[in-house]
Amino acid sequence: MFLKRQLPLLITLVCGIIWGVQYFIPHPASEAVYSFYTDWGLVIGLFASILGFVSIIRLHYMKVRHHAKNWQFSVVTLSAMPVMIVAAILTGTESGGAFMWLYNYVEVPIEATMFSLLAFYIASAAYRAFRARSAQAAALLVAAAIVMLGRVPVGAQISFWSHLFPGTSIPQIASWILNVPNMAAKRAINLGVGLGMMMVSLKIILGIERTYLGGQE
Amino acid sequence: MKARAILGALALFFLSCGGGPPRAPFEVIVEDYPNDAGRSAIVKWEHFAGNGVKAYKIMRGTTPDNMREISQISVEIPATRDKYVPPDTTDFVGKFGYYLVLEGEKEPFTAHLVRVTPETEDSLRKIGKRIEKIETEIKGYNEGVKKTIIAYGNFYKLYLDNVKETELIPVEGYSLTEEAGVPRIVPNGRTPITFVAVKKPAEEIRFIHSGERMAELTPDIEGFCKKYGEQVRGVILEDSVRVLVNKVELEYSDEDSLCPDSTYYYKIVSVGINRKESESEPVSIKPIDDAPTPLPSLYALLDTVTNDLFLNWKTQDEDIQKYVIYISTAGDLEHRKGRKLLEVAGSWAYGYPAVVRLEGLGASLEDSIIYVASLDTSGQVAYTELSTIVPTHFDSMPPLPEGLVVDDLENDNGKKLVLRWEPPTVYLGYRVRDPISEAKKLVPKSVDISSLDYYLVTEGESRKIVEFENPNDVPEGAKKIYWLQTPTLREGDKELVVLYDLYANSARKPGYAMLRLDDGEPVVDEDGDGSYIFSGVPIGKHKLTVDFLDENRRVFENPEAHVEMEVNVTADNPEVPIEYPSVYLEVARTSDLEETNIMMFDRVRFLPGMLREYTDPVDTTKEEFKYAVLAWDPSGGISATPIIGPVRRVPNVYHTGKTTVLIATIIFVLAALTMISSAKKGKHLYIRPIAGINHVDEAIGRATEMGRPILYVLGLSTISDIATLAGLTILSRVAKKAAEYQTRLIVPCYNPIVMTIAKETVRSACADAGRPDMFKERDIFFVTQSQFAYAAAVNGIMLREKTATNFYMGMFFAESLLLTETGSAAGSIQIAGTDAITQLPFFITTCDYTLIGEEFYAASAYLSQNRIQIGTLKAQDVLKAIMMVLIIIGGICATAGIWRFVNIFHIQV
Amino acid sequence: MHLSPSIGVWVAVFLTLCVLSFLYKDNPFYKFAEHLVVGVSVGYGMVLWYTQGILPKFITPFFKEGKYIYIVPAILGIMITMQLVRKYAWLARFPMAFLLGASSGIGLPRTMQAGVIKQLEATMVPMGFSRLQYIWNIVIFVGVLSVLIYFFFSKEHKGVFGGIANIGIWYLMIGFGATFGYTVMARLSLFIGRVLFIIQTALGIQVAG
Repeated sequence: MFLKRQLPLLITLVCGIIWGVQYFIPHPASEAVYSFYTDWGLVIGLFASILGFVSIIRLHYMKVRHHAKNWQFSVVTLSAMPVMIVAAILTGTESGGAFMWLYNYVEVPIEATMFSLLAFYIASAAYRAFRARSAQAAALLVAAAIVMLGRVPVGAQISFWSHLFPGTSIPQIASWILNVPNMAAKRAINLGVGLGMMMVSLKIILGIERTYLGGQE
Repeated sequence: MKARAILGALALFFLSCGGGPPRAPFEVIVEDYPNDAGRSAIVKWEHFAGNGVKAYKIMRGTTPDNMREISQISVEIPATRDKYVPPDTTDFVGKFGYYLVLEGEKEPFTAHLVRVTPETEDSLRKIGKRIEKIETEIKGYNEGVKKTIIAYGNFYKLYLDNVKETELIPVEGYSLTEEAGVPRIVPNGRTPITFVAVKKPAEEIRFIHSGERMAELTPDIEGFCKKYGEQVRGVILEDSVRVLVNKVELEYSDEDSLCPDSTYYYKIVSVGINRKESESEPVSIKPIDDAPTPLPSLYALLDTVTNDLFLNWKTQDEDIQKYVIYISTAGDLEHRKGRKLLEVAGSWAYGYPAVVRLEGLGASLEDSIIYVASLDTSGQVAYTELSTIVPTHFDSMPPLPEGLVVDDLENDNGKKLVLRWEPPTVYLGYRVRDPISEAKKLVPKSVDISSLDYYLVTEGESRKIVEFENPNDVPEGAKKIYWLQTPTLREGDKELVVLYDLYANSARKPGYAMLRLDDGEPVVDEDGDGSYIFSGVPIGKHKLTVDFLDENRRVFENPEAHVEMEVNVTADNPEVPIEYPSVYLEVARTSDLEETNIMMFDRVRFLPGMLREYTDPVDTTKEEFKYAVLAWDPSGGISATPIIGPVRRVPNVYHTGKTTVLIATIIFVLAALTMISSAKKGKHLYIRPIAGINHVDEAIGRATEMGRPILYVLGLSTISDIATLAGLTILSRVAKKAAEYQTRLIVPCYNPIVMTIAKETVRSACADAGRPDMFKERDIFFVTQSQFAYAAAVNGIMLREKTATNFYMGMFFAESLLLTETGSAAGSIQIAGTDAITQLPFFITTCDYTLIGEEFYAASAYLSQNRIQIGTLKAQDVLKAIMMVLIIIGGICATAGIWRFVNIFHIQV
Repeated sequence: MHLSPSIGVWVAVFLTLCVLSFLYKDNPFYKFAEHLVVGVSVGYGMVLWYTQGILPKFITPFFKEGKYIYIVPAILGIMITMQLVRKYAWLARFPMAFLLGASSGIGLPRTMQAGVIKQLEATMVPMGFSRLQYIWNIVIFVGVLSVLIYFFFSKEHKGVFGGIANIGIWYLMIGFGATFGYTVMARLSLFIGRVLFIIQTALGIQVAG
């Protein structure tokens, strides 16, 4: 029982203390300790990737085997993988080979287009935000509108009042919003997040936070 | 909804894309890069501010059809954003009627300025257009401008209010006194009179008198225009057409990518604000491998103690392959009689001093002549002048570093040693220039002396003021003086650019320069970039004082840290560069602890004389060393410090610079442990309610009612990311509830390790809920590690499985909006939690509840209602309170100038 | 108009349109593209896993360079893969404990330095009314404090405390709005990039001049 339950927590505590103290020590031995984590952690992560590959192959295989809904598309997924591997073996991973061709003309366009779909989603999210439920939500909307307009030529063009009050054109107000209230909010959130992160790290080291071990067996 | 979205996006699209393409760049030329190996070229072209171009792309190819982009330069789009836009400087010139006539077939035209008279108006109207407004600054937006044309023109708007009938001429060395009520001119050698006014011939007066307010710059009125005028950047014609007339030369150096003697083609593409492009015609060049530049200033010193010959020169070109040192005789100006002494590889970086030490040869070479040849990679040669070898002597001892100390470098891994010396020193220089913007306004104080008999007599280059009582004595060409203008110009004075360089060793914790002009307020140059500009400096002599401050903003006490300089601001914009000591320092080191002769030490490094610190990387494996520092001056003088040492290099065990972090971390841990133990003791701890967290149960219940599954997205990061861990903690609670309610939970994962943990988490949560059968391993799976493929797949799951509730807990990037928009289109209730600040706005606008930053981390404490977890939450509050107090104290200290406190938080790693 | 001869470009165009069709509604073309990209990206990941991962980071040091110490992370890695076998899944806890303990230990002081102390230092700036920047510094100062008070968990948002927290919410909303607006235009140019790809590269219609 100790082996399964207490030992991992002990390992976590010891590792946490060692690598936490490492930060304060410039000695070469300490540098070695740090690179020990980076090198080894990388290798462990590589082995763990195997789990992922197995998981996805298993998922789609099951779908095909049991003729689940849309199983035909799972065939596409399952066949794409060996195609990529074979392409890499036959033509290498340099540009010009079939492997990079598939990457450049299949994966990249699809991903780039998905990214660009964001343009539409943003428009509809903005529409949703139009129905501001409170004054504060309206502030979000107004700030967003000003900053958006500040980044295109139109914003400066419609700032007719800035003749009378120099320094108040839309792009300049946008810049002020980004550098003053936005900066304040960001900093405070970062401080809170920093505290939260440190607390979670401490909880893990002390063994209060045990989720990553996966259960109370 | 979708239609609206599409329309909205299209509208935005066209807003930024509207308009025609910009103009192609003008006058594109390409030149060979000087002093190189034929691998670089410079492309130049002209840019007109305000022409709607936001960037230029530089394209290159070996044939005109096959060019590709090699770089891009952005240009400032004038006056749209952060810069202060000066008050309206356009002007109406309607009263005086100017026309603009454009010459040429196509852009860029040549613009001619013509002042209209009633007789000429009709014919001018046929060939030109009336000018409605002139612009001395181009604004980013157009006030009703319909079209923009580009033309070359050099026009000035003149402020003629204060120009009298007569021309102003500068004369120095005289001032005005009043004696018995009558102004008299007195030569006093101190106060220069800036201008005297003399009567000019009628034609010249006519120009000024006619009241014209714009002029095209020609050589004969150039000085006048620049003195009384402001350059015109654009004019707006009567039909609201803007003509841009002022050009800027842009250039791009294409370095190190070409082969000499091959032909390359370049073209420039202008990219407009609306993203449209146009390109210039291609131009071609064959880069030339230039011959090396002859090296200036070769120093040859003979070290009389060691008999080493020591040579020093300044490298010039970048492509030198080797230097060959020749011994010759006097008079060998053709460099033919030299006997080769040594060849050295050309390894010094461009602009650095090259130093060569030839051991033991010296004695035989005394009185010889020496020269150095530099050969570049293609065999071309250049020579230095013939130099005599100067023997070193201890007669003139160049100054040595004071207070030299050698130590192990602190806070390092034990490889380096550091030499430090004093004193902290300020080096000063300055440059006078005309103010960059602002109209020049002359406010002369002038006195009318036309009733007196003073004449301006020109003798060769100089001018004098002479009083002639008898008009017959006045020589030919002398001009009568009408009035004097005293020299204090008010606004529109000069700008004084102070250049400073601060040197101190790092143990002193140096800070900033504090500058003061005459008796003005001292000013600290916060950005520490080596220059500071004083504006509105009147012509004359001023006192500049610069102090060197340490990090707590206190002045260093030694005299070199406080420098005063007399600055002479005159109309011709003088420049006084910073003068550095001409002494060189050489660091000598030995690992032989018995050695006592400095001249036998290894010469490690050559340093310019103004440095105050040197970190020796010590590439050998020995541990203890002795050091000394020698000082050389170019005339051969040499001096040496006493030997210092032995010094041992030590790997440090503790980084002193990180002490603040250590103390802060200890406080943090103590606060946490205290709150945890008081939580364990059973003390009741209050936590305020948070909207998103309270609705978790409600959201899960909704999914149960509708009989549809719950989707839980852990984010797109690895297990080392704290956000992912927090997401897993919340997953545990959600999974437990879902198991109790017997609702299906789907967890698509981005990372295999995270998937592993998620499986275990859900499994044990189901067991805790008493329903281990609810755990379905196939519902927790790995998708892909590619960002948008993952988003695409999760979107698919949302739509196909018709999930009723979506949780997004973890680290997210750009795909966040894709996920949440699809979820809301599918009608799911969505709760998000993340610390990704850039994504929070999207979550807030699209999800029903969002946990912001720290609330997200607090969520696991909330949902567990576990005493210890709540204890840690309270600890976070305690620390926040401490932080707020520190911020308040820090703000007060910074405002009051108490920098010691603020500097505690400044960490130098 | 000059149609591109490259077949790859047309494949890309087809797939681009498949994904764009999602805007209308979920359909077999989108499903096809989605499943295809999942397969291709995992396949790509597998190849890179070998060429840039396991080969240079483990196989070369261990087998070729004789650094036998690498057997230890290999064993730990295998322990993690024991997840697949139900009976031995508990072995995965040990490498996890190491990974998490070390990464938490590494993160704690670094977060303190960069996330907390550096932010605190940046907030300690002079305030006043003599220079414009100093006035804005007051605004930032008030903002940071009020948002921190908003995040205070121990006191309910009532009275003066609640008032200050309310100010914090205003700052937060303005800040989020600014970030939203800032990112919008960046996203938009991506979309324009795709459209231009179709118009210019595939169809060869020059949009410029």
